[in-house]
Amino acid sequence: MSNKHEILKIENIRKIYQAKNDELEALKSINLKVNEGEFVSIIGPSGCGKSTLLSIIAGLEEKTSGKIYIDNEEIVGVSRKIGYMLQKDSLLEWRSIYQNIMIGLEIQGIKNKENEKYVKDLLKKYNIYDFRNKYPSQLSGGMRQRVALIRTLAIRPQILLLDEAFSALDYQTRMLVIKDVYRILKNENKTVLMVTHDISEAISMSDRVVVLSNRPSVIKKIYDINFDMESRDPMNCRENPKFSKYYENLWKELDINA
Amino acid sequence: MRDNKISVERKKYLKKVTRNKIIIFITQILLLVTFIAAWEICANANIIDSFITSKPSRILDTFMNLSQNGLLEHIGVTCFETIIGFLSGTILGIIVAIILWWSNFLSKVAEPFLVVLNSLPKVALGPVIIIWVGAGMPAIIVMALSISLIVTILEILNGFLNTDKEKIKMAKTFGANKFQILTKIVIPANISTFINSLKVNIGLSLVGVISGEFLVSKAGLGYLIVYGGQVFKLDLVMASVIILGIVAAVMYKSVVLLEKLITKTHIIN
Ligand SMILES: Nc1ncnc2c1ncn2[C@@H]1O[C@H](COP(=O)(O)OP(=O)(O)OP(=O)(O)O)[C@@H](O)[C@H]1O
Ligand SMILES: [Mg+2]
Repeated sequence: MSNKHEILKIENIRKIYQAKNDELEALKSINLKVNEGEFVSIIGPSGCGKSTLLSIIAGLEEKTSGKIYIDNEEIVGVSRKIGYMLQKDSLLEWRSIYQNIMIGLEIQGIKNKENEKYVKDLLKKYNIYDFRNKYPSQLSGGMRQRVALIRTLAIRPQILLLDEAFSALDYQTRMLVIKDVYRILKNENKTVLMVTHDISEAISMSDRVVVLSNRPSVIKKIYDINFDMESRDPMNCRENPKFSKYYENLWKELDINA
Repeated sequence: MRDNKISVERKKYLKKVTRNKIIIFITQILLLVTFIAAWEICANANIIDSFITSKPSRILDTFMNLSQNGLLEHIGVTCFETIIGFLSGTILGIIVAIILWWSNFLSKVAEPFLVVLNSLPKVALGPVIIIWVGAGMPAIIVMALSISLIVTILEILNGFLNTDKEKIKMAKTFGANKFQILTKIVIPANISTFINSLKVNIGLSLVGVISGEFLVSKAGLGYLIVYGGQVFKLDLVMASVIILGIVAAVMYKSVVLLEKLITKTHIIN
């Protein structure tokens, strides 16, 4: 555990939004290190800048100052080592499931035999292969989100960013999709940075939970989550006595914030 | 669909739907026949003056005569002008819309001009166009183009700008450049915008062509109508108007057919 490889480093990230008649400091100074294979969640009050932080790491939003490193190399703009999964699945209804999943490879100009085989293997492994010629409108919400995940994985990112990726789903589906996604991400040994407003979702999936303060936000506290379980998954850890303890702590932390 | 047996209620419902359709169709035919018959009878009985209203039998005669006197050529000229005006207006409109979508600066600059040009009745430009491109077929085509161009630009630009932001963001997460966003997201997402604009444009181009033919032409349905009016041959005018109606309907139907074809291959609901 201690000699784990540090894959992502965020250093003094600051973000000030400029508007016509005002400027708004969303992020004051964010510092975070994430190890390879780690699952880190970010929670915080509404509007504190969680999405902003992920967008900056993904290279979609300019940062005012600060630096981001992947494998000790500074990244600027969109990095191919990062995959970003959004709240809406944004599947393109005019493309089949397979064509939807291939869009990342198409855009990056790396749609070759080897990558196509990799995608086909992913499809088979995660039970989408039989649906590959269907269209998005023929799939359920949970299934669509799984397709969106595979679309993100198709470009073989090392780090995955999830922004409220499950909040559009109804409760029942959400539980299933979370378990499903967790299994896939662990299986593929991905490093994950996830934003959520759901405390139990954060605890059930993460190795660490980062709590942001109100705007302009800084990291208020980082909680280590450790259930000491043999085969932990987002369902069974909820029954662990530690779960409610973590929940209580985090809930208080957010409450003080408000 | 899975079950081959259709319930009694379903059968009843389907029967009712077909019956309604048939009744509507029969009523429409009856209405048309009654109108034509009343027209003929009134004209024959001198209740209306057939010199200024013409009458169906004479229109039919004219129709037959014209078939020998090159009516097909006139139809051909009008169709040709309309299609060329329609295609150039649509293609040019799409190109300009793409440029304006691409450059926020240009679209901001162009906005007030487009708004003014859009509300200007394009027919008023007729004399100017004739002076610039000469009295003849080019002037008519430019007329058709100018009528559909601005609407196309505005319509398509609006569709482009309203493309789902989340889809564009999704493409950006993979590092898409502006050209890829255009070709992979914005254009395919706006297929229905294109088709709507085609539907509107086919009608507008026809309006442009006919007004152009009124002003300058030596052939075409618009020419026949003006010529017939000038020599008080109302039979000729009426026959031309009816043909024009048929031409317009056929053109519109072809666009609708195209729409069906595209939606079938592009989006499966
Ligand atoms: N493009 C922008 N221009 C100006 N202000 C912005 C912009 N995007 C976000 N903001 C502001 O920055 C702050 C942080 O926004 P952000 O979306 O990152 O918060 P969040 O923590 O993700 O919120 P939520 O919990 O609602 O998802 C908010 O006050 C928001 O209004
Ligand atoms: Mg957010």
